Amino acid sequence: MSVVWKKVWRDLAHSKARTLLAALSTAVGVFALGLVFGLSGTMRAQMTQVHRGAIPAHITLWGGPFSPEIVNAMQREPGVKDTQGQIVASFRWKLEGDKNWHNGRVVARDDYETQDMNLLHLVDGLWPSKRLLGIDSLSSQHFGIHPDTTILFDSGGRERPVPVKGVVYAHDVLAPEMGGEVTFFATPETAAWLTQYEQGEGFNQLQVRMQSFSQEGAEGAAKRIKDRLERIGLSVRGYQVTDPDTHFMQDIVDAVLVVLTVMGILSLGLSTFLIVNTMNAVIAGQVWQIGVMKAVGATLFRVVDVYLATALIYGGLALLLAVPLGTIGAHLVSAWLLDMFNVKVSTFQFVPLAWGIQAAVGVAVPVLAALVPVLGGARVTVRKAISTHGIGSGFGQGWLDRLVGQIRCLPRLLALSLRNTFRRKGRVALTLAVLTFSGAVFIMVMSTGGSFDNTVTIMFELGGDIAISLDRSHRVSHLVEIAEAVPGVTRAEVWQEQAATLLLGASGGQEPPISLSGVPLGSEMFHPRITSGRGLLENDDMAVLINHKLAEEEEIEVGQKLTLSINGEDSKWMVVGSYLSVDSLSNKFFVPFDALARETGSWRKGNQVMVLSEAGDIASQQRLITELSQALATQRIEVNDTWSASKQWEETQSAFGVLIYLLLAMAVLVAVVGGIGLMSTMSINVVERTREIGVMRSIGATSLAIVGIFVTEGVFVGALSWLLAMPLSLPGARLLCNAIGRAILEVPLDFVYSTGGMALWLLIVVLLSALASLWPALRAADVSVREALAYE
Amino acid sequence: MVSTQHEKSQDQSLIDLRDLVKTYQTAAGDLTILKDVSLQVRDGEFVGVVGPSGSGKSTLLNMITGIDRPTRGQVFVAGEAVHNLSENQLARWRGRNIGVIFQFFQLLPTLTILENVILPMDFCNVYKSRQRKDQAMHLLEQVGISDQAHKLPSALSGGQQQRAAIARALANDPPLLVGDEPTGNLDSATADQVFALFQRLVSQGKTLVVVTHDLGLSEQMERVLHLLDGRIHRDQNNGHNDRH
Repeated sequence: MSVVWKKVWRDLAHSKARTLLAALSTAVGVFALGLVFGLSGTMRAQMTQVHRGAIPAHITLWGGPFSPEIVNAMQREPGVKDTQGQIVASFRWKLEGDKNWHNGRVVARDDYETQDMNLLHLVDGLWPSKRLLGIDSLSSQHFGIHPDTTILFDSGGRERPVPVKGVVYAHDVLAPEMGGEVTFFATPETAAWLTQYEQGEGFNQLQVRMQSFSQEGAEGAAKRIKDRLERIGLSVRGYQVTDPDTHFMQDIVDAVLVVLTVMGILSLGLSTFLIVNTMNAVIAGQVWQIGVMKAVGATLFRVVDVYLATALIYGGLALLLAVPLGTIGAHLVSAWLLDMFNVKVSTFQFVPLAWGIQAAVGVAVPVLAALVPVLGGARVTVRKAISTHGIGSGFGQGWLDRLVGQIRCLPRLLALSLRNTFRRKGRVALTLAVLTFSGAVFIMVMSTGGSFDNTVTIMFELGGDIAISLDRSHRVSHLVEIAEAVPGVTRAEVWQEQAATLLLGASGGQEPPISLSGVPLGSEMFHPRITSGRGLLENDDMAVLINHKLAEEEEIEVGQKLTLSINGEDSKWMVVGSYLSVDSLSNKFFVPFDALARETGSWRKGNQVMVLSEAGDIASQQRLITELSQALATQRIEVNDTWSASKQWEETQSAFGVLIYLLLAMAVLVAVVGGIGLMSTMSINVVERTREIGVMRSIGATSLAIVGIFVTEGVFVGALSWLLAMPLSLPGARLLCNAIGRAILEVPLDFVYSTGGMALWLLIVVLLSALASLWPALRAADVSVREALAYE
Repeated sequence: MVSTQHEKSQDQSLIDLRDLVKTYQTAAGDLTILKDVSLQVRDGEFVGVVGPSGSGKSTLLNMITGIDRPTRGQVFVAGEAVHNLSENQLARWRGRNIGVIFQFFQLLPTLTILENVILPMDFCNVYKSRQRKDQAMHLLEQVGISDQAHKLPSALSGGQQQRAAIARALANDPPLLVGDEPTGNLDSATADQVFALFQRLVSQGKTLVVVTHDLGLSEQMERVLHLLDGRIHRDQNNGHNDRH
């Protein structure tokens, strides 16, 4: 090894702390990129693998009843490979000893042993058989239901036991904490026993797999099958085409990954700042050595070589740290996320792209970032290089110095810290930039969280605190009377729920199933957020308020007439506006109660009780649901389904919480970069001012005073970065809320600036700055007068 | 006369300075440190430069080594027009032709003594890489610290560090050694030893130009230049000629 290389290695080993800081600051950015690209690669691959592996149905049609003969007959349609029938029905269940009912759905198939599509896997126990259930694996975990657990189901107001004998994995079920429905598996006969579904009626879902998939081919086939079924007198409420190569959560995951990629690139940008800072410091501390090397014959090229090699080693060390951590991090985070989407990460996914990007960035970024400081340092003349010793001044020139110098009212040590802060303007500017940016990102993420809550709150204003769906319609006045008599209910209204199909006519597209909600005009519980047009008014008749997503997807305009198929009858409705919807799984339209009642022939009757409650917590609302159900049962009114805002709120929060956690993790990463940046700047300052520290010590400064001077300086920088972060975070947060809202909800979030986040960041940045400068300050306090004054 | 890169000194002198002027621009106005200095130094001379602070001693040395450039005038060293060389040309030329000895030794702290001596050889590619270590050890033997070869500079006394710095200055066997107060940071006994080493080098044919404050030492030099206010006030020949 040449002497020059030895110098490079020994310098690195000699300044262990600086080497570590430089490697760490590079590693943070490289890690962030590795994590994001690893996450993206792993999630895409695993989601696609699981989705493909389940052999998803290409077409699903709802309606029926589809007898096994009809299901088989559809196999003869051109292009169709296989068909499968299934019953999906809802029921209410609870665990033994529990007071509150849960909503659940039961999926029933004829044969679980031979499956052609939407494959189910038995994880534990037995396949469903007569009056024995299976449960989906996520709900099994969530509720602690294992083979041999007996659940109770609601059979017309009576509790009946039914044992669970197996745990089943179904790829298209979402975790209950993500808002997924609890799914049980049963035989068709058991399904009829559990639910209102009539035995021997056939299936209500027809699944079709084509010989080969294309979007157009599948849509054409779906339309043909629908027409054929309708010709033989069966109703088809709607159908859906599923791409076998795209997991149903892929769109949302992609949107989240885009945001994370941007954050990853920004972290790398901050790392680059830090490398520039570190290399500046390395060069500043070695100017005289550069002078000596040049004096003994080193050319500019050789000097540049030495220091670029240093930067390259920082990159190499960073890679050693960041590649394994990024790979493991990506694996763990994707396993966590995929678990929520019901995708089991079976094997360790290698993502060569992530490694490639990390390697390229880890090598190129430090070298490129070092280029400017290194070239600047290597150009220093020998005379200048070897004449730089003694106490540096570097303060007093420029308007900023004069301005800071004029602040006279401060205690002397505080004034010293303040003035020291601005001695190395380039360095402090870089550190400030990093910390300011960290702060802005933190406040942006907190604001996004707040805006999410805000948006979700508005969306919850589409009904009461509690909704109870009944098996059939009952008189409005009777229902209101029963509900309002229950203690804890402050107000009750009766709405009408009705399944329908949107007929898009000539467009030839899908016929999406929708849920119509008849709202009493002047309702106190209905406050939709209008995204176009207007809401429902007192004298509206055949007016419909539609969901914004469908309006955008199908390009439905305000003023347009829509044809809805209700109970097989077509009726025309005028679109008066669209409202913001967070529900990505179903399409809900709102119409005047009376108009819907007329169309369905249920005058002054409704099938949904909406209630405003005194208490807002989950427990109280669940208790109220139980009491309301009992009050209705005593009047022989059967409850189908219940819903509470507080529970839904919790589920929505946990679903979006994932995104906020990920963003916060990135913000923390950025804050760590900021802390490392400040620590490295303060370390450089200590080294540079060693002589000065000696002088201060020789004139009586105690260790505490020296620690105080440096820590105060660090805190100044931190507090200043907070002031600068505020104006930056406001437009930044707006942009982020717009981007995330559009990606996930297809509308910008209802923006609210997080003042709490702002205050929290002040606390964090002050603590971070104090901590980051404490270690350099303690090192400064360790300097003895003799070594300080002998310092070169 | 227009200077060119290929311009060579017509004189036989190792150092030939002609009408040198060096002016620095400072906040307080222009400050002329060297005023029309002309000087010739022959091969094998041992020249001391003395004078009060600010008289221009270090600046004169920096002109000779090419560490600083004259505002006006010409510098020829070993026949090369130093004032015309670029920074990179200067670095290579200096590495081969001049050994610089600093007051504070300026040994690179993370390299051993031996490695510090090899460094100029690496930079200038003077010896074959296998020979460099032997050559460096030989130089350390010459300055009497070969037993310290594998230590870091911080483990050595001031006198030993300066000997190492001298060995480094000799690394590429340059004809000229210059030192800016090379004994200024040493106690008198050590300073005497280093001075004796200088005398030995001169006796071996090296040319030495040394700035010093030590009048006792300067009296033992063959030729002493007294600088005052940027001019050579007196060019004193002590009549020693210790060359054997």
